[in-house]
Amino acid sequence: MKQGKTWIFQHKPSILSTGVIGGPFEKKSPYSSIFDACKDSLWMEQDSFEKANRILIEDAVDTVLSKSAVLAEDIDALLMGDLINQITPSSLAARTFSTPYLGLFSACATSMEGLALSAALVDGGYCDNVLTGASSHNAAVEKQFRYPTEYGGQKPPTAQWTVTGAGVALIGRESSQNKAIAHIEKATIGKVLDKGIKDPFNMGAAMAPAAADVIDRHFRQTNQSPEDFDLIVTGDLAWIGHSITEDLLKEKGWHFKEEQFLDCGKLMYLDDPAVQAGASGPACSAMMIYSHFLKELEKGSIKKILAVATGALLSPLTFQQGESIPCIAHAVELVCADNSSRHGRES
Amino acid sequence: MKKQSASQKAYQDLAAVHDRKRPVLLNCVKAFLVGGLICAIGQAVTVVFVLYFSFTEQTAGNPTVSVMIFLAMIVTGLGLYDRLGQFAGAGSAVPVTGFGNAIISAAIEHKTEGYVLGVGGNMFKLAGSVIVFGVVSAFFLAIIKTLLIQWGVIG
Amino acid sequence: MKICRLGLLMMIILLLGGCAVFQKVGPAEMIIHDGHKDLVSSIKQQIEDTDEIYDTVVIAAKDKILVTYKVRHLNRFKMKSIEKKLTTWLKDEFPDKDVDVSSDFKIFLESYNLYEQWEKKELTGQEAEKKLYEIIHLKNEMT
Repeated sequence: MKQGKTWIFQHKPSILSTGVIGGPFEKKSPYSSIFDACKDSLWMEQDSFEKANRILIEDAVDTVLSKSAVLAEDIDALLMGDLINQITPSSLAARTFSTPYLGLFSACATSMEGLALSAALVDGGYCDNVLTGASSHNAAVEKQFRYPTEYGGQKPPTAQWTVTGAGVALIGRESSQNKAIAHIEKATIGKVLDKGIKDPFNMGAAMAPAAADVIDRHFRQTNQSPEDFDLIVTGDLAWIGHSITEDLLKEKGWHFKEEQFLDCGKLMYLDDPAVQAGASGPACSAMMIYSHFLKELEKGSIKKILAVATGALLSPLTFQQGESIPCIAHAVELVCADNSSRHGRES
Repeated sequence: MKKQSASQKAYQDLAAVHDRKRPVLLNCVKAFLVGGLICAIGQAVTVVFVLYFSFTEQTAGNPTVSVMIFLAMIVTGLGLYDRLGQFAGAGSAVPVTGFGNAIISAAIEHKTEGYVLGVGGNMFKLAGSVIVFGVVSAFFLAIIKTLLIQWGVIG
Repeated sequence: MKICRLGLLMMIILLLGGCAVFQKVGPAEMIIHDGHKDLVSSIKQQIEDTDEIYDTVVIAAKDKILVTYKVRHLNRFKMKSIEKKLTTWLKDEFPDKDVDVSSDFKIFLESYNLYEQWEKKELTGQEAEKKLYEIIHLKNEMT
């Protein structure tokens, strides 16, 4: 069953439906057309950014449910996380849905942590339908981790831009009513790594070793190599962290073809100069993987991807106290749903 | 602080290859120009106070500072000061408008937590240290000056 | 962008306006009370001999004398020592006179206005003296 520390799922837990909501800045993303919706304002008609974050989650969950045949009452568990203190936006959103709820925190790796856990819950037969997702709100995160939004501080070119948005996926068994978008085959849970990076404006470099480690372990523990995958997608390493990760993996003997090793943080806004080194935030990987990459899997233009979300487990307190930034990454292997069942769906 | 292990050191060297350096010289030039521009506006305000109101060059300083902070408040409220700050860096942070921006941005940010604990309690989150260290350094400078005058080093 | 352009325009107007303000207007002297002629001209001579100063107004009333001047821009760092030098010289030369010295632009401006009005004979001696006291009061105001 268990091969090393990689989870191998036996009963094809599948992603049945997704909901992706972006913020106003995400409208400018080249992928905004495949997001389900983008909000017009950062406030989202709420009186605080934290409440706006909750609205993002609620809207994403509503979108998932409206796109699938599963009813809200059939949801057995809700696995959510975000970046705000004590993950209150997720918890308060869970209050709205009154479903069993597990709050998650792996910073920006929350999306894949939730996906792996949901797949395990479904695969183990404990749950039939699980909702999992991650969200973040740029202004709320800036307020908590950095300076007030209107403060005129200069950000270094290594800084990243926190995505405003939420990505939620419905995990369950494939059935005649609920066709799978993709199957979740395997998952590797990351270890917390700390290479002594202390600069909170250089998260990519801090997270790169964790990403490289989990990708390397996934390959070795499943006896696979980059050739077995169409794409290896990382969460929010952005321009700096992503190239470091590629170097680290090269050192370990894994070489990628061009355009095979991608990063959501780089893709989200491409090279908009306003975002400095790229995008970040739990919503970054959740939005890109649950929209663009799943769409490609559903179309069958790619067959198999390794989705890796990376998270920097810092708090404003720890970096002010001079602690270095511990980081984590989780990898989930997604494969295209069977051709036969795909055929059935299209007809 | 914990000492770094060899592997941490090795990694940081590897990561440094991909690091994006701050364009220090360019930033300095931008800061100089924008900072100078802000100060020129300040000077213009001073001249207006001297010419059209009964302030001397000595006494025009206080109303000028108030006007500059008021302008910073408006620019911050319009959401432009943070963009200026990203462009100019120290150029917009060092003049008194930067101080105004630090207070006002914090006040706007924490308005959602209420007026007493939110705005009142957090307004000086960033600017508080400016005040504290300003007062402390002024205190020590005053002591040094007093001593030097007492010893007859300076007049 | 529109706001930027408007702001830039205002800046330029203000800056150009600033140039006109600091042009040389003096030297000028004004004697409200007779009997100070020699005194005023010797003060004027002394100031004109000082290289760092370029524009002066000397006003003499019965018991008060106001000396204002502009300091050359590059010498503004030495303003304090220039003022001190002038004050000591005045004290040595006229120990029995109450002389006020100022390099403040506002004081200069007001003094020059007073001088112009005096020249046009718009003021009586008493009014002029009153105005002079007002200027001296303004000068001694600290905050």
